[in-house]
Amino acid sequence: MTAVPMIIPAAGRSALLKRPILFDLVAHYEPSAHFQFTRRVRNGFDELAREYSRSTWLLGRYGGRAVMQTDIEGIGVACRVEIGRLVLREGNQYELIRSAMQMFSQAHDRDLASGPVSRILVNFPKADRRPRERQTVRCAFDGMFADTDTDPECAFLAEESDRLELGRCVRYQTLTNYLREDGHYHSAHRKRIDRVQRHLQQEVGRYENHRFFLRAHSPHSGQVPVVDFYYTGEGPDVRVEAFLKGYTDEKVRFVPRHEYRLHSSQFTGLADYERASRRFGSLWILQADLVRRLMPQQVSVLYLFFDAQLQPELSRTFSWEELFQRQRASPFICRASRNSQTYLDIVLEGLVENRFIEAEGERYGLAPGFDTFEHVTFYRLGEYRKRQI
Amino acid sequence: MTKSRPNLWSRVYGIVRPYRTRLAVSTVTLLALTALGLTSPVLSAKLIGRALPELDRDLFLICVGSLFAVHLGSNILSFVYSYQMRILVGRVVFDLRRRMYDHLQRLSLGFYESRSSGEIISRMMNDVNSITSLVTGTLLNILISSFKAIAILVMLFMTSTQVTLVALAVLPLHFLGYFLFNNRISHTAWKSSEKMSQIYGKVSEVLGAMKMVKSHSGEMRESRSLVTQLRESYDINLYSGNLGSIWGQMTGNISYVGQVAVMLVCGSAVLDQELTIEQYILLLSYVGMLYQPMSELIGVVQQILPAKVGIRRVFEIMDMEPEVVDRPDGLRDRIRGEVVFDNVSFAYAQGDQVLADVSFGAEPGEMVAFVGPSGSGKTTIANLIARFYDRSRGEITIDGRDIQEYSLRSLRDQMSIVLQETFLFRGTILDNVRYGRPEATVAEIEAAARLANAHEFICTLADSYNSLIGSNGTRLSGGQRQRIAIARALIRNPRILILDEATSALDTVSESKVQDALSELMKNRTTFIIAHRLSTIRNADKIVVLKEGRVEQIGDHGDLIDQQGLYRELYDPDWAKQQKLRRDERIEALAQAASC
Repeated sequence: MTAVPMIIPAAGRSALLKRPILFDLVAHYEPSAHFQFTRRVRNGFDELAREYSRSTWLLGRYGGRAVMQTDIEGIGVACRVEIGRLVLREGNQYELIRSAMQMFSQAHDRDLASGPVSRILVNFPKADRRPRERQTVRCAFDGMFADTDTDPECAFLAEESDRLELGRCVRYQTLTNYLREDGHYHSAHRKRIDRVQRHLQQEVGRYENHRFFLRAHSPHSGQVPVVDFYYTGEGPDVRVEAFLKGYTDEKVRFVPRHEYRLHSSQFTGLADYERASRRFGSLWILQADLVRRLMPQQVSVLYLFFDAQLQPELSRTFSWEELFQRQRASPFICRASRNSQTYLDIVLEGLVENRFIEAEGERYGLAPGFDTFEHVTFYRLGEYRKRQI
Repeated sequence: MTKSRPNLWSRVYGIVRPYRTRLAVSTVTLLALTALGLTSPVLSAKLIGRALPELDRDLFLICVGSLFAVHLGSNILSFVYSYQMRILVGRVVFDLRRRMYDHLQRLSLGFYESRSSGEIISRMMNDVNSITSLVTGTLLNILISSFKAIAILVMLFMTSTQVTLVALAVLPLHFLGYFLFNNRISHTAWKSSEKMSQIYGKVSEVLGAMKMVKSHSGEMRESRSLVTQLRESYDINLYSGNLGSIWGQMTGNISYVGQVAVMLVCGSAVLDQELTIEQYILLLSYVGMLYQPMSELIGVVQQILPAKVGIRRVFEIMDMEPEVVDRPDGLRDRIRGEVVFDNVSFAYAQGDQVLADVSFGAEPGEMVAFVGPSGSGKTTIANLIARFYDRSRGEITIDGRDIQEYSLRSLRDQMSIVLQETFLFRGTILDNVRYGRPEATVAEIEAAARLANAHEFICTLADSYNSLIGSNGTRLSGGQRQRIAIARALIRNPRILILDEATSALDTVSESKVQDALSELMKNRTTFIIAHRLSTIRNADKIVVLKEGRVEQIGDHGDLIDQQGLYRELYDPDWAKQQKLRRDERIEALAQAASC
């Protein structure tokens, strides 16, 4: 529904009555081989839905009332709870969205769902262009689900303009750092990390009381960072150090737990470093609170907006012809597509759509805030939980 | 020289250009058809407005006769037009598919490794069809509708300016509809094509791996995952159809509002006796006809958007260039088979280094084996020798000349590759062996089959060499298929032979038969062998041991065993186990010492 904004008189001045926004919220639960939609589950859920039902202005059979459906995911059976057509004016949005989140959580707590929440989808018009509403949803979600001590802030995966998925991001470095490969994450260390990881996975029992991570530091800016391996646990264990030295040729140093907690931002998990230093595949990029996927061919085309010293030309705009000239000479574009005009057209379109670049008429430039875009790994809620385990 | 941004339409015209005469004939026919259509309202108005009220029999007969003639003429022109268009579209689609298939054949292996075959098929079959709607339903419609609209407007202006302005008053609403729906329809069309590509990709992948799916009881899972994709495709298409339909309804309603307005204005004028009945009928007919080309023009936009998406997807492939560039003046000399790698490095993509500074040499007729753990770069070296890819750094020479100086065809004509996974085409055994050298005689094929130890089993088949094999033909065992593949390689009489795990999928009995066949095949040829079963490469003149893309050791079997390095570890599992135990003990001792 699109209500027309009304001007109502308020104490001698006219106030703009905000248009209500229609929210749909869906929670998917982890699949289980044993879940069945029994009478108990149905009755229990009906009660829960009644408890949390909200009258809304809107029509529709399920307006403001939650429904539970089965959902086949992979090889297991899951369930999905939908509460839709919540017409919320600014002001009462937070409370209502929070109550929907609470209901999602309750469904699991009362043993009505197939498992813990694995995904939460939020649907409202032009969601990717409404930061205020997103902020409300984030607050409602964090208020309900987050363990604020350890969990990073939630973010939205924006694959469609109206539909967002809540999840959590592990942040690595800015996109510019990634493109220049001059941050703390460098692919030169991938083999070393891989060797250590493989050894740790082979010898699970030997290291089960220890956590391994690394710290990267660059002696001089622009140089390949130096990576040191660390471990933490009850106390230093020379056997651990000797084993790792013997099997992987890496020297690991002990860091007491309190010191690790104090400086945790300086340390990186091995898996995170490995993911962050990959130079292949697509990337997750965090733009403020939205996560978008950057495909490999889009990464290549972004280099066209960088100068010879690989500095992003933030304030400059380029004509299509200039970009094509650059593409033809760019070592970052795959050889097969270097002379393809259609390739440039299609990739530019995707980049504009995902707000990595901006188009003004026939000119293109990096999107405002490009230097703040971050390379992250986006985890769906369920995946993030498993990652911590 | 700076290239200007490509214009899609000029490229589309480039495809249609060879048939421009036919296009011109179609256009002229359609124009004539339109002009004929414009005379109908005049004749009808005269018939109803003048001939019948004035009881003018002659005029009545002329009008009826003319209307019949116009109808007949229209039918004839329609037939001519559709006949021309059928030919035009058929040939354009034929040309485009042929060009695309030719182009696909020229593209390098890297292209096929980055895309699913389903996606490529979808582009070649579905997206190429877009040009049909672009030519028939779009380009000509724009032309004709514009001509029709202008002609009707002129007629209307000549009859009544006031009525024309009233009729035109609703036009901005049509543009509003365009701005509302344009981007949405374009976006959904793109999504729909992408989804269809994914579905094609999924289906072709699953059908190709049916044995694996069944062996993992994955039928239900696959069905479900396809259902998800189909459901998404259904949703997208439904949404797209709804958008188109809403837009169509909106356009129709806007047009009708215009017609009602004209009806009111003209009706009032008739009642005030400012307009005759004949003019009233004429004006209403023209106004009715005016909105039709307008709606058509807007409808054309609906067709253009998805068609444009499809055409761009075709051009995206057509614009790609082979990564391995063949020199037109490349060497076509008969090679002796001396192959040298000098500090060769290779990366499939940016930063994904697979080989680093690899150097080795092979004399003509030598047998060189590559061994190493999985992912060490053995197959990549074979790919570089066959020039499926070009090295990133370093130099590869054949008989002292850079490999890139040779013509690709000449080079590959002098090479044969036998892979672990044998691919046999659907057809007879004769056809499959002959694929190696199409001009080979039956006697040569039999000779090759004898050398490959395949003649014996081929003769036991019902139709001998004419037995059908492949997807619907005789079922052959892995060893039999491999021996046919070896016969196919033998018949080429190659100077360089590459055997990539050619026997690793076979049982011992089949392997020994295939090994015998291979020994024949390798005589007097430079042979590169990749093998996991190291017993098969003991006799190699040179063994190159690779680890993580680098050469770890080079030598013959005896040397490498003596060196007690990676080769010995791979060759002799017992020794490797002992070594590992010793290392474990050493490290354990060090750890003990450290803890003390």
